[in-house]
Amino acid sequence: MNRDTEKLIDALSGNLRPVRPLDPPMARAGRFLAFAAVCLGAIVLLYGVKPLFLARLDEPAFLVPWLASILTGIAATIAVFHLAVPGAPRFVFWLPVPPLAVWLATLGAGCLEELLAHGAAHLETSWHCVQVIVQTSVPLGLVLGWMLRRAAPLAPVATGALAALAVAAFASATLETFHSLQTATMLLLWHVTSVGAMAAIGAAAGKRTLRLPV
Amino acid sequence: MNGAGPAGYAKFPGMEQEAWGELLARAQSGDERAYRRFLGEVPGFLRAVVARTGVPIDAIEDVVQETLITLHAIRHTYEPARPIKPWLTAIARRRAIDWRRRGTGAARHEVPMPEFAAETLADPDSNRDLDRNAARETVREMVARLPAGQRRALEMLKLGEMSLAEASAASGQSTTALKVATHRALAALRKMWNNQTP
Repeated sequence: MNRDTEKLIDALSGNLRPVRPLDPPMARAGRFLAFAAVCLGAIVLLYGVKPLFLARLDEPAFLVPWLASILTGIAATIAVFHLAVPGAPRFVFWLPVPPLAVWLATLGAGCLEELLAHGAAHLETSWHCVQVIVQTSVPLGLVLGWMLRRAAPLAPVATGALAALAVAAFASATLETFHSLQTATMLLLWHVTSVGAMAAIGAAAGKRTLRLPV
Repeated sequence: MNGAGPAGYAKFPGMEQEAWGELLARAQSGDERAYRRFLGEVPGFLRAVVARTGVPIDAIEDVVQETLITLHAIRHTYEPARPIKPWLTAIARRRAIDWRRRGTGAARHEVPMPEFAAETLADPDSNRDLDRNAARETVREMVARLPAGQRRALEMLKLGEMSLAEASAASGQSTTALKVATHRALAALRKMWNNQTP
């Protein structure tokens, strides 16, 4: 073996400090999901569920994208904790894609239907949605980031984007319970755009913060 | 040592890979002997992984050393129940990609030396004493260009001849951090020295 490599091995193995191995990714993802469920549940209780939201749960065009947004958050969380350690199987990266596709496709179909029926007359601004999604996502994202502090993601941009996607998808699903937007077009315009923007911010934050220690 | 040949294209029986996982798990609990054995056995495998990424043969050992430093720093991310090969492969590939990115950056500022360049160069021995003084100055400048942490570690351990324990007490850094910083400093100096143009 190369002498430099031998010297390096001597240096690394001398005075070895014990380390606590990270828990399995699924266990860590489960812990974050439980924490998120408690926080988001508290927010829902604080604001109170709108009767309109409960009434619309019977409509598949409303229920399916709402459930898909929650599943997107869960799948993205699982993917993040797997990607946060080296050697994750490649399929993990794609886990959030099916629920995300269902979420976008069902909202997209509803949006198209509404635009064909009513045109763009019912569109309005809803900055409140953006505000709530950001205000909910950022603290949750910081907790998720804190849980990744000992991790070593080899794909920091993807990990950051998926982490932000996870928390923003949860924030969007929570917001719908007490601030039901009436139409798929509005949901697509305000919720999904906010989630996309959060994922982009997460990608940039991941690039800067999720670095290997050496 | 498993590696055969400079690129380490050796076969690695499954039994050994399982043993590597056990050795690293024991190293996580602080078993130095197990860790030394683990670090002594994996470079051959790492060389094979790095070679497959297209890193030129003369740079493979650098990338393997960087991989060893990284896997040391993140050894807590190995989950003992899981296969170790994908964990090692992912880290080695990451380091190979980083090396190639750095290499691409450097290549933009470098010009290949033409074959007849020797005709234009002076006799290397003619200015031996002058060169020695110049080299001393060059090394001093190179040391000054190192990141602060690496420079301090180098000054304490190599120039100041302090022991690891003394340097650790003086700087408040762990001995491992100091060892890694010194190794990186020497590697950086070597690279700067090789890259300097006469």
